[in-house]
Amino acid sequence: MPWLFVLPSLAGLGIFVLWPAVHAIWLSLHESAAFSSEIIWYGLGHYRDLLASPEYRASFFVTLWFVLLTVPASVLLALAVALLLDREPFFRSLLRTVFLLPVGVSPAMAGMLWVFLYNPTAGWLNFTLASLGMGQPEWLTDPAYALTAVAVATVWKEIGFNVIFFLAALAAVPTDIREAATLDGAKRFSMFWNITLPLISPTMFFVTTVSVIHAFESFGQVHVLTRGGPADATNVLVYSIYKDAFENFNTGFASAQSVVLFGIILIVTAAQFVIARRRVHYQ
Amino acid sequence: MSTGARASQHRRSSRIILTLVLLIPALVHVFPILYMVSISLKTGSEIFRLPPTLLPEAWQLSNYIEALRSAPLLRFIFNSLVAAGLITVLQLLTSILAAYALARMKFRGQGIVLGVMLATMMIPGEVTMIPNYLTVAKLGLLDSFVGLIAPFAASGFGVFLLYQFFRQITVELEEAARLDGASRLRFLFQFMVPMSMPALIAFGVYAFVSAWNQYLWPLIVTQSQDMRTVQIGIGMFRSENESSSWGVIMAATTMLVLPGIMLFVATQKHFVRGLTMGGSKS
Repeated sequence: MPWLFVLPSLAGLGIFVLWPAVHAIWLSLHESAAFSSEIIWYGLGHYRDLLASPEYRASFFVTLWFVLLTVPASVLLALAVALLLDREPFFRSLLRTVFLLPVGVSPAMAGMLWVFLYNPTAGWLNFTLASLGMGQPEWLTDPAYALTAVAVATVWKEIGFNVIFFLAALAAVPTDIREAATLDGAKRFSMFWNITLPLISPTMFFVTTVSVIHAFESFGQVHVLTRGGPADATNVLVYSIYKDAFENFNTGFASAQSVVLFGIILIVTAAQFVIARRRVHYQ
Repeated sequence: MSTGARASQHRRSSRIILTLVLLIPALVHVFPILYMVSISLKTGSEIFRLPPTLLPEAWQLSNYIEALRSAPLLRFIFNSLVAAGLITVLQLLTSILAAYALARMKFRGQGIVLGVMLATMMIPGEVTMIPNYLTVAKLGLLDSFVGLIAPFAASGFGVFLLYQFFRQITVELEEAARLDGASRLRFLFQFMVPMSMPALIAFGVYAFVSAWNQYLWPLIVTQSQDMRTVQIGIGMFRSENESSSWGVIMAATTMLVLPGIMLFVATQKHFVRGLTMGGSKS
């Protein structure tokens, strides 16, 4: 009887999550010959090819750089916004909604929203930069700027998501600590540093981990904004998997990349658990 | 003036400063959305005029008419509604059943089943995408609603969330109900489900928004224009309609972005609850 209840979930997750995870590893160890259905054992060959591939190595570092560009910015900006919102400004719920709005916007849509802002001649971004006397880069077509452009749109989209968690954590901080709002600046800062921050550190950690994983999994905004280009400047890991699997039809090679990504995400998650257990303050 | 009154006045002025400090980043934050709407209402020549104008000189809807004519936008919205709606209903059903059995029944292998479901939460979609594509292609389900929906019929996150919620409901109720001869299933849907409404709505909203925002899977399994979802339809405007004017592209984007934003604003309370319930698992 209980098995009838768990069967639908178990079947769905088994067929479309668990088995495919195993299947992906199997595929990564095989090579499908071009123009035939024959599949041959390739051992760790694809992984060896990955290590030797300059494109893949470049993609790896592009992704690492992307993580560095997006995660600290989206976590710290979200924390700042949440701290300000938590201190009861006027129109609090309206302001909060404004910061959360991009949560209802998918990564691909965020990309579309930013496309014209990045227009080198008629977009507001370069117009503003010009009036400040700064340079006007070709955001999406200059390899030196494209990744930053994608990162900015990503941070814009991710902030709201992180604000949600920080607001929930701050709401759980005891009221006597939060009501000490009449303190002067220095005392308030030391209170934040010594009391509030340790109290919300589990959330800080959780949000950082989720942001790192999100950054590693970025795809929609890249596909819409730059298609991995120019000159592979935004060819993040997932974009590379997509290209090799569905444009170059190199299933084994792409599967090996997906398994490596899986490994990275597992390591990030495990590291979060280990460090959180040791260093983060829990009440 | 009493100290209390002075303190409250101090509080008031600091709240005003606080509001002003937040107003600037809030305006910057909402700017891309307003900018999109503004461009969608401009004429082709005004879009490229320098210096750029913030508001359209003459508001005109011709870009919207042109956008609706150049791509089946309503079809995209319909496809997304059907796919995300069915995924939500299926995830709720499968998760309710499994969570109930795991939380309220005893059976051999229970711990393993729970562990397996939790483990699925660790597996990213990028890993399962290639094998799932091969499976769906082999079954001839490419470019179909079944292909879009089936891989997301069950959710480890949903099972885990509802499992935690069902465990908190007191047991006596169940025994009383069983004495009345109510069957397990009837009990589940007559008592447990109504009592768990906050959790179910929160998870349902979360599931819907996640499904609505999916990109990679719909991109690879849909092929014909008629099966494209909102997200993919939007991307097509960027890549395939490069020739059409920016006003038309932004009008199309506005029409496809706004349903998601309005949906989020209307349900944000539930969405936030769904997220933070799941996030506090550690």
